[in-house]
Amino acid sequence: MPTETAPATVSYLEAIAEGLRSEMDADPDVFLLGEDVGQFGGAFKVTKGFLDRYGPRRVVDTPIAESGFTGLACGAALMGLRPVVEYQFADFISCAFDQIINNCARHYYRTGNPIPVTFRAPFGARLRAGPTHSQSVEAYFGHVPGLKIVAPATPQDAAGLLISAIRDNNPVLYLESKYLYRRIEAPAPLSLDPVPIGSAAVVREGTQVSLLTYSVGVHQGLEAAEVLAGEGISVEVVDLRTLVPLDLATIAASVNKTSRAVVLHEDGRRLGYGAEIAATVQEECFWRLDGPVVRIAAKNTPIPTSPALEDAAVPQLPEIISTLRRVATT
Amino acid sequence: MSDTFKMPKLGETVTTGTVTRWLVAVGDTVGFDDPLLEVSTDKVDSEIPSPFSGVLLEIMVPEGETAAVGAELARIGLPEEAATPTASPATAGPPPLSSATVGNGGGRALLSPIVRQLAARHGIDLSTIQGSGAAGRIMREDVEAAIARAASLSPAATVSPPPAAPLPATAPPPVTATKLGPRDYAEPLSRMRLVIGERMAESLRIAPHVWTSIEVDMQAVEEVRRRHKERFRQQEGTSLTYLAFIARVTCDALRKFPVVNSTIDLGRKTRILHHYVNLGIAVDLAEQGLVVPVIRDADGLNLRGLARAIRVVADKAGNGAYTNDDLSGSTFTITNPGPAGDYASAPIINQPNSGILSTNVVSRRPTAVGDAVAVHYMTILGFSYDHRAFDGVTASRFLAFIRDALQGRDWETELG
Repeated sequence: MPTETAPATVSYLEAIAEGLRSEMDADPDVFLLGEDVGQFGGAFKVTKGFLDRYGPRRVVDTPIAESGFTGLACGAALMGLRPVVEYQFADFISCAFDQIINNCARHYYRTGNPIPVTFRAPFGARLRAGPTHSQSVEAYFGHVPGLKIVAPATPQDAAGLLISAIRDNNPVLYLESKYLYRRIEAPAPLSLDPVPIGSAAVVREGTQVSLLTYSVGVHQGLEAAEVLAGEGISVEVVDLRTLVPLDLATIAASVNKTSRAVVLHEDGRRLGYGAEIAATVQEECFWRLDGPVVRIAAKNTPIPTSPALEDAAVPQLPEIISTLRRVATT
Repeated sequence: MSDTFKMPKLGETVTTGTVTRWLVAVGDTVGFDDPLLEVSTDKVDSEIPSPFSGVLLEIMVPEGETAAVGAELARIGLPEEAATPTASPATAGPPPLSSATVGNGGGRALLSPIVRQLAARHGIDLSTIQGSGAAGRIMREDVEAAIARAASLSPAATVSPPPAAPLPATAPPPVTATKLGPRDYAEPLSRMRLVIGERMAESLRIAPHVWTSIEVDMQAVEEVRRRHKERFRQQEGTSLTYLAFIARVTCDALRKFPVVNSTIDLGRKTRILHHYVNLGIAVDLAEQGLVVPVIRDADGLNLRGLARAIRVVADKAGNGAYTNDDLSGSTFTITNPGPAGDYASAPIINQPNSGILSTNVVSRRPTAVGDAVAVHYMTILGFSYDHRAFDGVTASRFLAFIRDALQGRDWETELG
């Protein structure tokens, strides 16, 4: 065996793999299924090497039939296993709506019995992948009672929230950003402690405006906050981390402090999750607000394939900076 | 229509309370029985639930101020009433800003909820403020700057700090702030910690403490305890503790040595002698603080009665269910670190007592019995006393009385 030096950093993608391995090593009931998760190592290579390590009974390649293998996962969970379902792209999850919404999300409410399934969905735009490989799906599922939704922005949260999702006794939709997969790294080694579901994090403290965001938006927000700090404008960045259930206490504490709020996400503006967040902030914090809650979101179009048009469709740094500046100072 | 919330009566002898914290902000909704504010009295911090459901419309007594029982603290009413609060110069009627200043054409100023709230709370006249926002809109920061200016011009005119305690005769040396390193964290102190801290420092400052102690052979007590403990537990639902025995003989000793059960007042050149024993028992609150609930007329109770009373006050304190009355009026105090294993301890006197007894671990130790060495249950009783009130010989005779009673009394008569 050649000696390998441990890598100094862990990417967002490697963190997801580490989280999976940690739970598969610890619990023989945890298994993976999805298209190409085995032989091919996953569409984005998250599960590279898993087939050799855990064998074909725990790393299951499925046909291209999301409704079928999602139903299979629900059945396995009912029988006491803890399946982790990978969708190659979050876009394809719509094929499995019926199994997720009518079978899985309702089950605990109807019967009182747990149904521990984790749905891993690589989501979001910016990879020039066109209208059916770039979507954000949180708003559809955020409306469904009985589903928890997490959307980590950092390698540490990617591992910790995945571990919590797998250990949760009920279905969790785990939205992983394929744009962040190989762009964000954290110092190794990662902690493999679970990150609690339902807990947001203030990732940069500020006094004049709160940016409420998740996933890619956190990194854009931190960059914008740094630029605005140079102008003397103080931005607080709140990484929501979990979308359902929303950490209202952290959000309200931040907005009550800054009295201004901007919500940022990559999903479309109309009925995007930002609408829910903005409405909630208005209900909870109205008497402490110094101005309207503002949303930054994608245009209400399919995500274009053309790079120039895609950039125009989803939020970019200049828009985020100018919006935060306007809300903080006018 | 709104309801007025008044300072509740927090104990029989309590006449005022200090608002330490409002848990609900003006404009926020509060439900019936939801926590509304924290009030502190002499020793107790109480969280007061709201007796009404509605929107908190107005706070009459700000944080840090003291109000009498029955004083109006806040108004709670329907949400629509929040839009037109009464009796607030800054928000009564249309805000006094010209449309030119704010440029919204409608004649009514564009004032955000937070700006209205801050101005009302701090009595800021918004017509005197130049807005820094778009078209001169007054922003939160503009009001905050105005509040800061007002405070620097006349400190008394705005929110005043809580009334300072009377300065001690000798001012404490100035405390230099400890520099915080990257691995340090400045934790805010709880109200209880602050009160305990002040009281302990004050007691040591005013009373010259002397500590003495005595060794007691608890073998006889242990044997009685062993004979009766099962039956006692069945009958009383509580254990027959060493503390109950010690408290029992301490009450007798206090009657025999009245100066130990006294309150000294050098200023008036008197001491107050009490013809009763109100026995304070120090109770730890999960290491978050210490309270001393008082057993009234403890000298009228036998062993069984004291064991019951100790259990009642300890449970009440542990549940946080005590009021100021439960904690006041002690004439002497016992502290009981023994269960934690202390060999001998030197407590600080609980003012205005003249002494405090500490009960320590009871364990098997070799001791001389006649000319032989026997292994008996032994303990050390510690006693801190105020040397202004009496002298060493009294202290020693007081302890010797307790020792002799513990070793020699016929306990069967009290447990039969």
